[in-house]
Amino acid sequence: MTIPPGLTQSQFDNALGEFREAVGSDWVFTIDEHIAMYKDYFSPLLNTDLQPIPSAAVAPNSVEEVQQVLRIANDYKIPLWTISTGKNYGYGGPDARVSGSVIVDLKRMNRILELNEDHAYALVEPGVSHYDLWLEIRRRGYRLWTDGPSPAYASIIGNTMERGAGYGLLGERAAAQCGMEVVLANGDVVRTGMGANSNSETWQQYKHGFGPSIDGMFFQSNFGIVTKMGIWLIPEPPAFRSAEVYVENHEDVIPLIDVMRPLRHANVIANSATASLNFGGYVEGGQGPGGGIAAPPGTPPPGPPGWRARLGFYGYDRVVETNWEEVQDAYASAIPGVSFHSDKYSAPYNPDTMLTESKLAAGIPSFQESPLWNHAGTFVSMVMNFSGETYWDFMQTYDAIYQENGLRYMGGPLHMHTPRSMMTLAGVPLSPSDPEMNQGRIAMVEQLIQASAEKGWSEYRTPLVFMDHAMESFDFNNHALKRFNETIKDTLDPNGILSPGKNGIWPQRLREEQA
Amino acid sequence: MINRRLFLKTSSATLASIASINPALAKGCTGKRGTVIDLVLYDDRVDASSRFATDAKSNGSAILSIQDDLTEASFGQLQKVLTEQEAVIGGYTTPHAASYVLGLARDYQYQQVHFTDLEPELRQLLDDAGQKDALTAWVLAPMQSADSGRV
Repeated sequence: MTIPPGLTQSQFDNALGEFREAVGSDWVFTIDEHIAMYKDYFSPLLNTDLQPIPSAAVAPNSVEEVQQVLRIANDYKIPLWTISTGKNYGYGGPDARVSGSVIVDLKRMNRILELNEDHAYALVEPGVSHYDLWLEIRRRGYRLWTDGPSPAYASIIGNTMERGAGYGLLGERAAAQCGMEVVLANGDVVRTGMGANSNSETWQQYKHGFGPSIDGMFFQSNFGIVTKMGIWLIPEPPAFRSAEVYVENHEDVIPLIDVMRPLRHANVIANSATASLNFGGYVEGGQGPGGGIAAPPGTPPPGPPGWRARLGFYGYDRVVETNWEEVQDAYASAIPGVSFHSDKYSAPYNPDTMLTESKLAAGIPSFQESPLWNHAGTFVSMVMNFSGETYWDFMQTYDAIYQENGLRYMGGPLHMHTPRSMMTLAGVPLSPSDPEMNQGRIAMVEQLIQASAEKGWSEYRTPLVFMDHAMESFDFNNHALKRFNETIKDTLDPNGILSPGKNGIWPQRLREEQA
Repeated sequence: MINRRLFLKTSSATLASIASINPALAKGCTGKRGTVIDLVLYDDRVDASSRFATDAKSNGSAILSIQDDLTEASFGQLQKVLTEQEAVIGGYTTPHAASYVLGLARDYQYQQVHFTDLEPELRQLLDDAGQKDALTAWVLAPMQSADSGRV
């Protein structure tokens, strides 16, 4: 059994006894079979001694039990690592950064506390998945849409806190968050925004509250444990059209992007649009791109069938039709050979008759993106200018580094969450049985992160293994952001118990050990 | 909490089933025949896994094909079974498929009561058989079921 760093077996046994008193003995997991369920089987460190192993997992069922877990961890200085229903595939799964951490599994806190049809929001606990919420909306017969990821069993809170994205009208999910409840490392419970007023009737309706907005501090951080979150939903539109734009040539990705930008600005294309190579998202026969395109040596440069953009149009029937016509006109006048496909639906919607391609943009749980995860791989997830030329430069830059490492980069999926920036995934294949090769791939990803930083592209999210490297690339004023994060960390969590190392934020005692 | 009786019973049943369909794995595996696994997940692309499913089906198990990941169909069936909190679920699948199911089952208060990685002899046999990355065997049981000693 792995034990937390700095503790004796006897001390840890005592701590486990206290955890059992706090959450019930059934909800403290210590034997190997149970601990194995908290392992990232997609880790670049799989089958090496470097992959962190948790010492135990605890599953509290309430805010009060979370507070007890924190009190015990503070008493013994045990590092915790918080997870919920989310899977975080490709980004570290449930792995902690420090071996011997106790996993705080919030799966039992799975209540939908409020579902408001009139104002289109939900208040949920961390164990609620997008699929759970979608089922509950249907059970109640509410005319609301969610905007989930694919696959849909991701935690709403977990995926939102990681700034995950959807494909519909609220694709930039972090922007759809409104109000949260957070348990700080000292056990204090804070409600953000209007929720700080105990009697507030707008906690899930007005984001900003009074004074500084602190919600953002808890995204991708280790400053607290989020136990409740408000998430905005979408009133069911009267009509919906799911559409695809096809271009024939690899270079056509440049106008595909550039034509889309003003249409996104004008809200003619209102959803979180995507674009990808038009052969299903990955190369058959590759070693496993894991979300991007990493083809083995010898793979020819990409040619037809080019690219595909996926769009969604929502609202009153005439608005939907007018916007779709505008988009077709804009593309037809800019790209020779462009073609279109679309499917239109009207309320009341029947998911059973909806094409798989349409479900994602309508927020209906789908597993369409699941094939991206078929193979072991890790991700580089870069945010860049919403510009065709920028993306072309990105592909050339990445392909050069991939070729240095015996691979090809042929273009990954693009997500246009906002009209001003876009995000792309580059997949790097791994092999569970070849740790030596994986070490080389880790070095390759670090090379990609560094090259990106020099170009002005930054990661929006990264696997655990690369968190320190990614944080180092945010280097303005000699890493002032990192120092600021550390100041907050040391103030809120002086014992450094909460998810040490998360997104490159280490508590003082572990920074000193590293030094 | 999983009790020892359940653990031993499901483990031995799984090992027996695996042994029955893969001679390379039979050495060192002991246990009585028969199954306590209500639902068996298998990979229909792999003969050994299909034989495992056939064997399990003849012993009364329901079976469900799964390849490397969850699909809308397999998720729907699995989610229903997991929600009911009654079935012991076993699999002889790729590690990726296993990791998806394990990750999902974790959220439905299921616990892993057996996996091949814990058996040194079996791990060696898997390596010898060149199947280190090919198939893995696992068994999941609902905590409530384990508490009650239903199996």
